[in-house]
Amino acid sequence: MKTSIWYRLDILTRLLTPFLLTLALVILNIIPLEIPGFSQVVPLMPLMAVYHWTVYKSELLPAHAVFIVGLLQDIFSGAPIGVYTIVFLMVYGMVIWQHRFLFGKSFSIIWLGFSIVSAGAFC
Amino acid sequence: MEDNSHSIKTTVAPIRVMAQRFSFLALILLAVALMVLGKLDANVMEIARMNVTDAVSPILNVLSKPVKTVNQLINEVLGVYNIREKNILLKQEKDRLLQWQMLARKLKVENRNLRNLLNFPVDPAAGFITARVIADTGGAFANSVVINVGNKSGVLKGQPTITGEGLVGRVTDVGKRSSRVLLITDLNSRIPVVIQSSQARAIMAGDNSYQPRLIYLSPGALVSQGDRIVTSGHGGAFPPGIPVGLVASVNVNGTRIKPFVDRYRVTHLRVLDYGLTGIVETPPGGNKRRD
Repeated sequence: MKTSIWYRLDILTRLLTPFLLTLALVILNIIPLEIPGFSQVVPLMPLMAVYHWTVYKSELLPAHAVFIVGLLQDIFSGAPIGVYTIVFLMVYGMVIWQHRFLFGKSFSIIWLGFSIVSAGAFC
Repeated sequence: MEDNSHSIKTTVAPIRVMAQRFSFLALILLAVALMVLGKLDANVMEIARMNVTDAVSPILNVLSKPVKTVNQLINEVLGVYNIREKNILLKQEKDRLLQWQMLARKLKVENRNLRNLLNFPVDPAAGFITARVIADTGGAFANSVVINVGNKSGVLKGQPTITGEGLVGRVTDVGKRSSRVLLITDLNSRIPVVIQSSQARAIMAGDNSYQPRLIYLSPGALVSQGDRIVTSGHGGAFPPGIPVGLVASVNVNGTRIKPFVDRYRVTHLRVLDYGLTGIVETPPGGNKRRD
C-alpha cells in the first residue's frame, strides 16, 4: 500500500514537472534583474521549455498545458491576451508536425530546429 | 484474440491522433477568440489580467528581493573600491549644487512675490506613493512594469509615475496590491509634451525602441539636439513640467527623444497624485476617486 502511494506520487511528479518548470521560467522571465538592457535582450525562456519538452517528452506537456503557459505569459508580460498563447501553440504544433524528423537527432540538429522555430515565433 | 487487440490498436491510434489534432485546433481557435475578445472588450480582459497579477504579486515580491540583495552587495563592493574618487567628485558636485541652491532660493522668493503681485493661482501640491518594481516585462510586444502598490494604497488609473530623474510612465491597470505602469517607450504611449526652450507643443509617441518619437510637432517649431522636453499638461492627464528627456536626434525621419530615466535601472518609483482625472475615463464602479 505504502509503495503504491509513493508510486502514484512519483507518477504525479513526473507528469507535473515539465509544466511546473515551464511556469517557473515564465516567472523568471519577468523578475527584474536590474541589468541594464537585459529585459530587451532576454530570450523568451518559456519558449525554450515548450520546445524542449515537446521534442523529448511531448506526452508530458500536452497542448492544453502549452495553452495555459502561453496565457500566463500574456497576462504577466502585458502583451495583448492571446499573442504568446498562439506563438507557443504554433511552436508546439510545428514540433509535433516535424516530430518524426526531430526525434533522436543530434543536439545541433535540434538546436537548428529551435533557432528556425524561434525566428518564426518573433516574426 | 491477438488479432482483435491488434485491430483495436490500429483503429484507436488514428482516433487518438485525430483527437489530439482536434484539441490542438480548438486551443488555437480559443486563443484567437481570446484575442478578439480582448480587442472587443478591453476592460474585461484588463480586470481579469489585474486579478491574476494581484494573486501572484506576493510571489513576485518575494522573488525580486534576493536579486535586489545581490545587486546591493555588488554595488557596495564596487562602492568601497572607488570611494576616494567618488568622495572628491561628490565634494565638487556639492559646491556646484550649493550655488544652484542659492540661486533657486532667490528665484523661489522672487517667483512667489511676482505671483502674489499677479494673483496667479499656484498649482496644487502633489501627493505621492512610493512603489517598488516587482516585474519588468520588456519584450517584442509590450514595455511595462508591475509595481507593488494598488487600490489599497490609493493608486488610480492614469496617474503619472516618476523617479528623481523624470517621467517613467503612466498607471494603466490597478489591482488591489499591484498595478501596471505603461512606460513612455511603449508602442501605446502618447504623452503631450512641450519643448522647454521654444514652448512648442508636440506629442511624444513610443514605438518600443529606446528613444520615443515626437509627433504632431507644431509646424515651424524650432527643435534642435539637446533641447529639454517636459510634459505640457495639455489634456489634463499629466501635470505640466515633469522632465521627460532631451532631444537626441533631429532628421527627416523625425525627432527622437532620449528619456532622462534609464528604464532598466528603475527599481523604485513614485506614483504622483495631482488630483487630475484627465482624459482617462474611469470605468463606472471601479477606480473611484478618493477626495
